[in-house]
Amino acid sequence: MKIKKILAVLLAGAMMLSMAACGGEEETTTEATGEQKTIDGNVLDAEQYFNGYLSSEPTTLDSVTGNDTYSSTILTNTMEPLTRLAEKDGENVREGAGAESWESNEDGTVWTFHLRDNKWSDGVDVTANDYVYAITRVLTPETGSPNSWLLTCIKNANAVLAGEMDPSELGVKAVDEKTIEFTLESPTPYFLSLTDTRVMMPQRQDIVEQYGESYGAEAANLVYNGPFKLDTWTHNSELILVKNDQYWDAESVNLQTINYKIMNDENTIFNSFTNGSIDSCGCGTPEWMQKFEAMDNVDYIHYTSPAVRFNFYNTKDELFQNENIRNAFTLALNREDIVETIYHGTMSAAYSWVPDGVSVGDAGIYRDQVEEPLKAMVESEDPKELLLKGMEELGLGDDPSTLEVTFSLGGVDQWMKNYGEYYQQTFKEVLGVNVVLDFNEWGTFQSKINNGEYQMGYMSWSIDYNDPYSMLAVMYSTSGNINTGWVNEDYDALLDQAAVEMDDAKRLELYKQAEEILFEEGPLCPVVNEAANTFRYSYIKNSNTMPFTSTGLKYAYVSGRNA
Amino acid sequence: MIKYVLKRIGYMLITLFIIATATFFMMHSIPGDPLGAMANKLPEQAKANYYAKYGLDKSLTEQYTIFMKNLITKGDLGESLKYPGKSITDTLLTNSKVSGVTGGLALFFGVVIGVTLGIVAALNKNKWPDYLVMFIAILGITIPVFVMASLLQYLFTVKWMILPTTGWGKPKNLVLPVIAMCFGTIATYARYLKSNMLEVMGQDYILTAEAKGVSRFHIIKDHVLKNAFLPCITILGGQISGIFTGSFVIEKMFGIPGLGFYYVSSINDRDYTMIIGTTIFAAALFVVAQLLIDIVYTLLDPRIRVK
Repeated sequence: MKIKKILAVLLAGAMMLSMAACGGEEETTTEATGEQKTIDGNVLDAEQYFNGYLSSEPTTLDSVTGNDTYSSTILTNTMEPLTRLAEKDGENVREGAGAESWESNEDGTVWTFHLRDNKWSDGVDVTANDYVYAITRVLTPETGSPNSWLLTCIKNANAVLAGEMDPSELGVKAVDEKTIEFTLESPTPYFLSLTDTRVMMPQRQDIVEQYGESYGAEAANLVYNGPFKLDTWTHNSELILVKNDQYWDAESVNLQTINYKIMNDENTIFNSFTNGSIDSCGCGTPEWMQKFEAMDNVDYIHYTSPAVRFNFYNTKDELFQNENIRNAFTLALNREDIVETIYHGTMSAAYSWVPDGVSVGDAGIYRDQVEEPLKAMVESEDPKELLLKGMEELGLGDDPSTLEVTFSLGGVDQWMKNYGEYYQQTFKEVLGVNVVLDFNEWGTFQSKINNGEYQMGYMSWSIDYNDPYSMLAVMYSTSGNINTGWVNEDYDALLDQAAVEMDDAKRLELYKQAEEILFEEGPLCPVVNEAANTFRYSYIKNSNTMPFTSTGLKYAYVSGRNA
Repeated sequence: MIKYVLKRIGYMLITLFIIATATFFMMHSIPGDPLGAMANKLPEQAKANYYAKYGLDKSLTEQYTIFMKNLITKGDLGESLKYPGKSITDTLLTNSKVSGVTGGLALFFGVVIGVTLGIVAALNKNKWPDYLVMFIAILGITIPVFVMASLLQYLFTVKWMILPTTGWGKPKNLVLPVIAMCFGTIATYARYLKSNMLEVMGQDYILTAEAKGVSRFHIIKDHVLKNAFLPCITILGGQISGIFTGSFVIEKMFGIPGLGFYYVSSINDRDYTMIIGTTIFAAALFVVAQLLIDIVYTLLDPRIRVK
């Protein structure tokens, strides 16, 4: 049996080579027997399935009313956005999905998408109206969509959301069955990076109206136009996706079934991975990581996620109104030590607000071109001196041990307690300041922060779309996202300029200047960048390894599961 | 008797009403709201539209009136705020069935095995079977259920690979959770029944029966067990209502789609309708179980009679 398999692999490999020699463009070949398919020299197993897990039940599969990552995972695989971000040779490439091609006018305010022929899982043709309908739904106030703000770049969106204008006046319309035209409020450089997110996924008006509030609450209460369709949804237990034969690119889809179990107990997840019940798992626990790394049929996929864990200061607070004091606390941390002690090397130290991996259009990865601002500061400044300087400015004397600072955290578990104690100790050792820890359950924490009843807090923030603007806009003075009370007119002005700057290089320069201001004044203290630590059995091929990729499991296949 | 039951049902309804009202105002007094628990990113307009959709922009008394009106006139607990389109009543019914099956089996095996062991221990007082049973009972009471569950999971699904790690719908999915859950019950009943039996066996009427020459088998069956069982019924009542509300830990570990999850998550999510739905459900089960227990008591124990 083994020999036969090896022979098959060799044969297939030989065929691939000969095909390449002939200059054949096809990546996929089918053997003469018509049974075994080969991709990149790998013979595909007869049974093509993927077993994954979700840490929580998706709230709803209505792309408009939900906004959790679990439902997004399902939607990426079952719905066809206008475009998708694929991976090619270690880089992200935007490819047509629901749209075959697209273009914009010169100043980037009008975008036209040309749809390809595609069908819904019930056989009905996908039309431009399906996309326009869903987008309009996002922006209709009565829908109460938590994602609406992402689309406020569309003309009249703000007025419609405020109920001052009828949704029919939105800058999105179906020109004909296959053409969608977007008119934007002003040039929006990151507009394309919204076209593969859930806010622009299509919905069928007749189905939404048929099911009303329960649209998307059950597998049968919606139709699909993506690579897969949801077949079974046992709430809080399992979701089973099967290949969608009506899909326009069904030929490229290899998996026949995807099983997502709902699991959120660490031991259960790791036990399931060990015994092969799931094919992939995220793991940041050292003992388990060692165990998985020792398994020779497992790949370790590690990349920085565009998410930052950070401390932040209440700039309205008596003490933290002073920028030297804020910077003293920011520079007092030894980020490399935090990575080792708290995260066991699974995350990476953050010296900037815009994380690695985020790109500025065609100008490339932002962080490759802009030095992380905190790095220079760590080398040139002494935190203790900054603190004393700040205390002098505030007339607080020169004894840091007279200060008492409250550090608020949004969690009450053991991890959070250890985390807080680490900081308490660091600030005591480096600055000589006494820190009081204030542990709160998440809801309470949020309301404290929003009411400004805190001095220093801890949170994490993940990016919403692939442009530094998504991170920097969080600190725009009117955004209210993180209630630091920080206001800087120059910062706002730079962002206003960047928001409409279609020239990528110029935009990058504006972001750089804005980020510099942010760190000079220091309302935020980035600590680490989150990272994906995924272990995956190596028989799963062609599945994603980059943070912004939005092809889901469309191109994945299985080769050698039982070998 | 009927009058007594009707009166009790009347009290039950009042109790439930008070519980619902108290829960309503208590949960709204915890800081935070469903949207905050979901994301903090939203601009004012998006938040306002969301609140308006779920009626959270109205005053608390107005929200309370609407809630009570729907509950009393339609028996409608509303829709989850976290899971749009999911009716609370449906969720309670579907998921409590799942919890009921797992918990019911665990309770059944727990009681049967526990009672048997208890009898064995009582009849062999201070001999090795007694020590063995008490050893098991002490383990059952002291080992936390999640430790037991982890151990079982590791042994059966990773080491020996004979049972599935998680899942629902097949009988083999039930094996591990049921074992893990019934272990504590076994221990409780074994200890309880043993001490009750020993107590009864020391009573004068047992001595009388022995003096009259009643066989040991009949003494145990007709006199000892009957009396020793009575106090067990009290704890059984609480447990029966508990099986439908599920076990958070066990359900989480074995991927059982029961109700336990919602009791914990709804509070963290500030899913108001779900919080109140699950609370009323648990309260209703509890008061009904208490009523049934009291009725059963009057049937079993001639000393307790309702006038």
